[in-house]
Amino acid sequence: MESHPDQEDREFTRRAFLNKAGYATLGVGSLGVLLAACGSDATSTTVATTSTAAARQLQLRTMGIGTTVLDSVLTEFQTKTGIPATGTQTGFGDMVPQWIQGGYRDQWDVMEAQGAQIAPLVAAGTLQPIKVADITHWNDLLEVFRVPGAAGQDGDGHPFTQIYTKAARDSGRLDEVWVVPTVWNGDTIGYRTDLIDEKLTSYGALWDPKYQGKVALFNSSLRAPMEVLATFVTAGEYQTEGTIGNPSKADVDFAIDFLIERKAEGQFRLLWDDFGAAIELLDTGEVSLMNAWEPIVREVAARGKPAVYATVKEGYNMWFHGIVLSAESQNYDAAVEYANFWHEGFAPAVVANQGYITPTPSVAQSALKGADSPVEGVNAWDYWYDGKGRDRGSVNDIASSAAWWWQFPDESEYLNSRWQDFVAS
Amino acid sequence: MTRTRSSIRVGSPPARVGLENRQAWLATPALLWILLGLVVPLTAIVVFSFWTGSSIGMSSDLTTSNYANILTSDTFWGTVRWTFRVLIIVLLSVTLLGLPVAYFTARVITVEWIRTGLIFLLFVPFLVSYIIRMITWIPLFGRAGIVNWTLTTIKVLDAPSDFLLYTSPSMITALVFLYVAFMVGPVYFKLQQLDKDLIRAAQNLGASPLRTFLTVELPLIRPGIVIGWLFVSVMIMSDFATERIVGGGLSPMLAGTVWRRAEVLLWPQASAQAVTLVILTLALASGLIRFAQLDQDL
Repeated sequence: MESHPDQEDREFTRRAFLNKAGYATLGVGSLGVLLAACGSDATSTTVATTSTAAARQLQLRTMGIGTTVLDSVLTEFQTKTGIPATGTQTGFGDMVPQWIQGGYRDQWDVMEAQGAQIAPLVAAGTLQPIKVADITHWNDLLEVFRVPGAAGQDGDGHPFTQIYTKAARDSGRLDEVWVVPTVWNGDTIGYRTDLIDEKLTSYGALWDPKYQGKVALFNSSLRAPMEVLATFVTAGEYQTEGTIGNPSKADVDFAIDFLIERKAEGQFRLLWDDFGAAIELLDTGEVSLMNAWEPIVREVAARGKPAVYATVKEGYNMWFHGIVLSAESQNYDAAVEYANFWHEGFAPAVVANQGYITPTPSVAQSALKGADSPVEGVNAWDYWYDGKGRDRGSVNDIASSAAWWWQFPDESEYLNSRWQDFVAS
Repeated sequence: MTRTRSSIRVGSPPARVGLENRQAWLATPALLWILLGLVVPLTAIVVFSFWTGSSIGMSSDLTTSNYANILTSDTFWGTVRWTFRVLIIVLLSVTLLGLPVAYFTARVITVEWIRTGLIFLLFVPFLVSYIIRMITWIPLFGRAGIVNWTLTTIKVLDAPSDFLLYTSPSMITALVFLYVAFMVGPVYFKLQQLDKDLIRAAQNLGASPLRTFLTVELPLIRPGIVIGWLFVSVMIMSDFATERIVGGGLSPMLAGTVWRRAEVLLWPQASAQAVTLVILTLALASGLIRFAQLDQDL
């Protein structure tokens, strides 16, 4: 397979990348690394995709975080399509390393990747595009995902620009994508109403001295710094050079210096990495508030603790997960079936209970109306999509109030290096 | 002591003995193992540390900027200072805790099977993985943990304390408990080896137990203490999980910073930090060996 134009955009083309780097063998740390480093071409063997797939049994091997790689979804998919399906759950931070280090080659066909992960996956040459024509419900996707300039996109055109290949965007054909969105949501902060006696409506609560020592932050350079910028931009106290989601070096310095200052005052109790550990932190009251994911808060509430997910005036930190396909996979058709399956009723109803939203609400509506919600007598559609249960309004309210979309910033290395300054300060 | 010295003298220049000895091939599996498990990966890390890396990959364009960035970084040197501060506190603590335990086991307990049993108990925690042992600190010392529950129930505390978990002192305490066994072991075995006649001679000449310990036993068990320090130092230098699981991830030590770079795919940067870490650890270890004059004492 030739390298895709998107990959040539980047610093390294796929072939050069693989020849030089031996990324795939890096995790093993043995002789293979040196062989690859010596310029062996052995690692760049590629396989044609769909032509041979029909002649043999398709299969689907997926990987991602535990909130999207779900046994119940995979079992139903297998029952419905007859395609054997297996899933590997991993930590968010481990997804891209495991995939790039070789997982994409022979371990998995698809990854349920998050928007910010797409750029490095593409640049590393590990993906093959998916044809829009193969996605049954593509035109039912919310416009924010598929129409250039649609309401809800951020200043850099995300998520639209993350989804389509550069060739598809440049030509205006919009005929192929790197990722098929399957779930989305807007992140804010989660807190315990018994430990905090006011209604929180701003990311500013994370830095509020009132809650000194009671705050946990997600261990990612792509989150708290942006929340700092959003807080100050909305308060009219700072104007970004870049955007909130794609900050300039000066913006990064502003955010990190502020975080370092607050850390020195003892504002932050710890950094959290892991979904399960985050639930425990809020459940046990180890922290009173955190920049959370909605399923964390839902789970804590389900355990009987008064936890809510805030609506913030700055707007949401929006994200989506979607199906990306390995450059080496011979299971193109299975991946497409899996993406189509996610757009229909079953999977959206399963993830609705953790607060996740489908990008194709019109397709999933009837199934959601028939599914239960946490409140007896209220169906899942009314509860989650129509604002009768969610503390923060309807799906349309959420979709129209993005402060920024998770993305891979231009200054990601600088941001990461400054984030390490904060962590070690 | 004479016995120990002479037996070591026979084997001390291993290379020459190895060449002379027909059984030298016995060393082959170990050498191969070291070559594959240590030399090859370490060489790869050294090579990568001179490559160019970005968040989307790395290329073999050679650069020294990874080292330049480390050596000119306040954050890096701050982390080095913090790591050595933690190391010194832990070494002092494991020495103060470990010596009496070793002494008690070797000298006070006279029944052989009880002694063996105690030493076995010391290593029982190692039947459970290191990560699991770290995670058990959370239900023990968290706000809703057993310690806080007990302290609030018996009214020692009005409210659960945040101090016991996700703080630097809690991380240091965890490190001490993790590694104290590595102090007790070598000291205990060294005490066991001591010629009991020397102690009796000191006592016959009127030395108090304390003086006997300070002037006779302590100098003789010094190699055991230093070996304990060596074990503990090397393990602390490579410990990347305790500061994250128990410490809360906001006071990283050197090994943790290597991991944090690797997590975001900055492999060359992570490699340069790893090489620096190895150099610092080797310097520390050779300093300790020289200090203890281990080459003469063992």
